Amino acid sequence: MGAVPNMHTPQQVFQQQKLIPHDNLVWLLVAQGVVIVPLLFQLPIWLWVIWGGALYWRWQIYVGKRQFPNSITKLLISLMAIAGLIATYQGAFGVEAMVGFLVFTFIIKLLELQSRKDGLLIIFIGFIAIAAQFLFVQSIWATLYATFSCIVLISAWKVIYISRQRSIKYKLKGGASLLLQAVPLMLLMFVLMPRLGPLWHTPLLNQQAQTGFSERLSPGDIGSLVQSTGTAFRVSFLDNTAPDQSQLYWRGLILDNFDGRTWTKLRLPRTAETAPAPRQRNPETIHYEVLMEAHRYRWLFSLADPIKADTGKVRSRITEQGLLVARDPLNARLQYQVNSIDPRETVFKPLTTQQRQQLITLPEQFNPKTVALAKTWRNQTDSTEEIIAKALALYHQDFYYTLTPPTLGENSVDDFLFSSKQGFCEHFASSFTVLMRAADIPARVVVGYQGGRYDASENYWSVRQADAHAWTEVWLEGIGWQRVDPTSAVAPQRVAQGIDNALQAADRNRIAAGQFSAPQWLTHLRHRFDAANYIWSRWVLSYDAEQQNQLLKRLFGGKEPWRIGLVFIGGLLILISCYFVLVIRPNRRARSPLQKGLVKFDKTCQQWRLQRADSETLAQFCARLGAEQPQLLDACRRLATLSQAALYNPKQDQQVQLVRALNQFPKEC
Amino acid sequence: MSRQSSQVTPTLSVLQKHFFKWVDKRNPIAKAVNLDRKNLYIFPSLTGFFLFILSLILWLLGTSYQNNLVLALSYLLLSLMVVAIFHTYANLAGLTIKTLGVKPVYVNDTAYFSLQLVGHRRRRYENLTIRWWGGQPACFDLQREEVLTIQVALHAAKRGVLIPKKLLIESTFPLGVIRCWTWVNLDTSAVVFPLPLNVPFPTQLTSGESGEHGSGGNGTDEFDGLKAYRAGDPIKQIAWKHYAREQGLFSKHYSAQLQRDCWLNWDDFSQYQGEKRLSALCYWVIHFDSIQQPYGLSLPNKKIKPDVGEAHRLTVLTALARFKFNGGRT
Repeated sequence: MGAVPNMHTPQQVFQQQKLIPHDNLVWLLVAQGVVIVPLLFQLPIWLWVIWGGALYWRWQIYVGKRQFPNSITKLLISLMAIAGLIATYQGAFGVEAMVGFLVFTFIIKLLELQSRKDGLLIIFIGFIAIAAQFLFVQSIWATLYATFSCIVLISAWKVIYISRQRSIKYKLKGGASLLLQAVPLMLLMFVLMPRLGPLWHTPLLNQQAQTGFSERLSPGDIGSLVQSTGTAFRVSFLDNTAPDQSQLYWRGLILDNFDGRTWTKLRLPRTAETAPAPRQRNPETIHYEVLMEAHRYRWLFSLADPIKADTGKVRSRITEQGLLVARDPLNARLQYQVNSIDPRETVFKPLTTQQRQQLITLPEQFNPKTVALAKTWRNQTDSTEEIIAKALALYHQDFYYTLTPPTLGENSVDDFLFSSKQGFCEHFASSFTVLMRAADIPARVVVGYQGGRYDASENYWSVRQADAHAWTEVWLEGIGWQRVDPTSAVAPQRVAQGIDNALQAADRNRIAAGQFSAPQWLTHLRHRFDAANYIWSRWVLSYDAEQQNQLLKRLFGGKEPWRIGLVFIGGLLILISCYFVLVIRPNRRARSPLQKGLVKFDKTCQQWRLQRADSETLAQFCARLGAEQPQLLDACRRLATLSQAALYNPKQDQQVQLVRALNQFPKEC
Repeated sequence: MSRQSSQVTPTLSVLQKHFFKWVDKRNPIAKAVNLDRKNLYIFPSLTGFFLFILSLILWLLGTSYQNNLVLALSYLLLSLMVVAIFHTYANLAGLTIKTLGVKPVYVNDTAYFSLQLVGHRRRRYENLTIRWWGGQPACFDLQREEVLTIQVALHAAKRGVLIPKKLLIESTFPLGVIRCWTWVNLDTSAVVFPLPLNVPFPTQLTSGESGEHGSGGNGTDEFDGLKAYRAGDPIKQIAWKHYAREQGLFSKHYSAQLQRDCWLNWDDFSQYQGEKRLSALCYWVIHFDSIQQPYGLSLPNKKIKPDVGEAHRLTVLTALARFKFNGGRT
């Protein structure tokens, strides 16, 4: 670049325009920073270092201490970065690696940034970076931040084409107003443009961990899950069928294999067995809609027992265990509707001998004390109900519900039942199931969520990770599977009022970010925000072809292409006329009748080739006009008198007369 | 031609020819032109096409990942493009261009056409580019209620009258994705003087064409004295005797020479052909003007009486510039 002498002629200004002025350079740097910072949190830490280095280098170029790097240097840096990315992601060609590469090229572009073209490239990559950010997070906050990023980007974009000095506020305002003007058309397209399904198989985000529980349940698993923030899913009950909070057991996964410490799923050969059918033909059902966050597992959550589910494009089935399972892991937010049978009714399907055998199997040599206890109960009575009651009574004595139980030894159930007696729901569910199985009662552990927080304003239940829960289902001869929640024996308020009220103060503080101990207004605010996020997810993020059809049918009475096309063109025309009024003639302010009359009068006078000067009063001009055009003398005198009268007489009718005279000049009114 | 001009007038493609024909039909030549929807053209620029591709990429990304926010971003870019149409148009509409005039130039110089630009009273105009067809572009801004006089350059490659083809005013403000432009036919022209060619004053003087002042009869007047030789003094007047005595180079001056008028006669320069002849005449016009020597010009079809001064110089040079070679060619 070198020192550019002061250039002033318009021709030289044109030459200068090809380069980026220093002021605009700062804008581009800031815009780039705003855009990539949220991405950098998702990417390897060393990219921060590269960014810092590139900024430093660019600054050195700016002050003239360093040159632009030559192509060999750039190639070396790029090769190193690619190697770094391959090492970080172990060669996995996933979204993160691609975004990482994008951000890297974006950063390194700084070292070539000198012409207007480079500036435009920065802006364009900036928009891709915003899109990449949406691949990771889609919350309201992320969207608000992205809006801010867009404003800065558009401002920086516009600044490339502004050649004179302007204040930062002016430039930001320019960007914001452009964005604001573009939003209505964007909304129109968003609502009306046809939605297509995924066009091809896309690489997934591999770094994002699966959320919620895994397919294994060991002591302490749910305890740590409860401490994570975040929403698992949100539910709204349709047709006023909402059950009581204590009945909201969201079943996700059934674990029926125990190895002495960990519960896992029994790997059974896939059978063609279908979901158990309800006893009645048309049973009472609970109808609800679940908006499920992507947890990257296959299981979906439902109340016992689902008999009908509509998961839209995602393929799913109801298993013979009464669980709703999607065919593929859930990688995107999913909205689905389920009909579950009313809790008062049950489904019944007899167990085969083999199934029964599996469901009472316990590992040998483990937990001898527990097994012995159950055996004594079994010897005392034949009634399954009595045994269950005895077990629950045991928990009722001196067990303690806590998030931080002491660690357990090899015989975890023995340790828990007979020495520590402190545990979280998985300890209770696990030990209870072991007791049942030892007493020859088929039993299994169910993991899922219990309860939720009801939001009255938007009429939905928000189920958080903190609501994670584990309980037991036992097989009652002739009745079927029956839910038993041993935790409720220890901490009844857990089930009745939710986890927030079931824990001791020490445990509550442990829950992430003081979620439960926050002041009331903050909790309230958080709940409002959760409601906003729910609406956001439900109406914006899950707006798909189906919702589009429904909306279009409701608004315009159909979804035929011609109808939508008509609506689109109509909307476009309205918007275009708005733009025309706003942008092209924004300065045609409403004029008062008097001003309008003056304009008309000036126009009339043009036929005599006389122009009223800006500083000339109406009376003065009339005198001049009368002198030049004798035939107008009378009209001129009359107008002059009227104008003086209107000026000094505050009465309204004088002005009206003057306006009329101006409009009709030179005729008499 | 002494030197090939660096800027060759670009040739028109067939498409442009048709476009210009259409433009000419709509916009007759005028002294002043007001820009409005009748003479403004608008089309996406190359950047605009790139933006469209970017929007398409984002749409594919959003559809593949079923990500509504990415889709919205894609639509936002398209909407920005639509909004930019209006802003770009508003950045040119209402502008009035008026020709003010142009100073004559010599061949191979740059003619600066003065144009006056007046905007709509309440509007700002940002980053406009203006150039003649084949000329150098220039950039300018216009504040509210500002009246701007701008010099738009055009290379003068040929002697004669330089009539610029068309004036281009364009803008891609605010985002560079939409280009709004106009080709204006302005009624203006620049006189291009011949390139001065330093040649000795012709020795064979033709007489008889002189007016009442007489002409060319330098040698017949009374000797006035010697003066130091100045480039361009006729060889005939050089004091060879003094030169032979190695006293230096002197010119003999005659009393009448300073008062008498001097004629630049077309026929005297017959040893030079074509443009060179005019260039030689041009050189002597400048020379006589610089020494305040009254001079007249005699061309085959035009005669300008001897005089001196700026107005006279312009008249004479313009006559040279406008001279047409035709039948009178020697």
